[in-house]
Amino acid sequence: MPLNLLIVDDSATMRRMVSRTLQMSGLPVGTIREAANGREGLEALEQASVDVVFVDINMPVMNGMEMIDAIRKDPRWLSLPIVVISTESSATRIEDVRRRGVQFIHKPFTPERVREVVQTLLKEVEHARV
Amino acid sequence: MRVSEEQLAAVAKEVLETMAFAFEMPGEDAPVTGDLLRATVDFRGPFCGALSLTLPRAVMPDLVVNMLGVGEEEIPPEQDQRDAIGELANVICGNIVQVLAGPQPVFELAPPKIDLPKPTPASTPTGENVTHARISLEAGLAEVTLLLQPDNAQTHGTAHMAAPAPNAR
Repeated sequence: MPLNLLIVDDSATMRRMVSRTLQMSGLPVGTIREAANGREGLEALEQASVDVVFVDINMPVMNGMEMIDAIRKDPRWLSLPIVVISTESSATRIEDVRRRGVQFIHKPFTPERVREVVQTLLKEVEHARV
Repeated sequence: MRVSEEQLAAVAKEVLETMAFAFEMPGEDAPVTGDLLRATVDFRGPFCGALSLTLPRAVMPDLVVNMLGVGEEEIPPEQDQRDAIGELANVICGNIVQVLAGPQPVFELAPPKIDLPKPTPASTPTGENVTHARISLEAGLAEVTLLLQPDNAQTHGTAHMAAPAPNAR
């Protein structure tokens, strides 16, 4: 079944790169929606069904960590798969991300890495349902 | 604290290859010349500084096509070219500060600043806090420059650039 995806990044170029990488990854990509910050990302989640969210950390208006916290507080999205894609590679920051049940992809990234992470996330969600 | 030319080149090569499919080719280690485009990213954390990536403008259309997957038949808009070099500099910067600082510290990176530098030696900063690496790409030379501030840098911003704004990329 095609995956409906949401890419949240303040850089339009990076959103296009993530979108292109997803198309190259071999994942069954359905609709790709985009948002330029966490606030717009939350609005996009309200408007459409999304299977996986890809989010940057540092963004204006609402950053990625704030968006993730808002998502996890909402009962509808407690188990929504989220992937942080960031330039940051600080172990401190990665630990913060993982503590929220979120996967982390470091920039630069490859289609293979994106596929691996998404497949892992989807398996975890499937296991949680069983 | 200092990063070696080899370390800087290795990070830049990985980013250029992975993000833009731009691979190093055998070539001369000469200054980058011609019409240039430069992206500079200031960073702040346990130490401060700036990372700049300078590329010949002639290289940019191919890089943008590779990065964004747009059609090769059209020259990418100027804004796409600026955004693309900014993203490359941003990712190189984010990776090189972690090479320098190790896995624990958190850095704030400012949004990339784009300019058109003059290809003269005087425009290139030099000194013991500066590391340059040049990478020969198929369409021209790329230059990466890392400028580290002296020890008191955290409170005074970088020598050439303003301190990064909080919550920056």
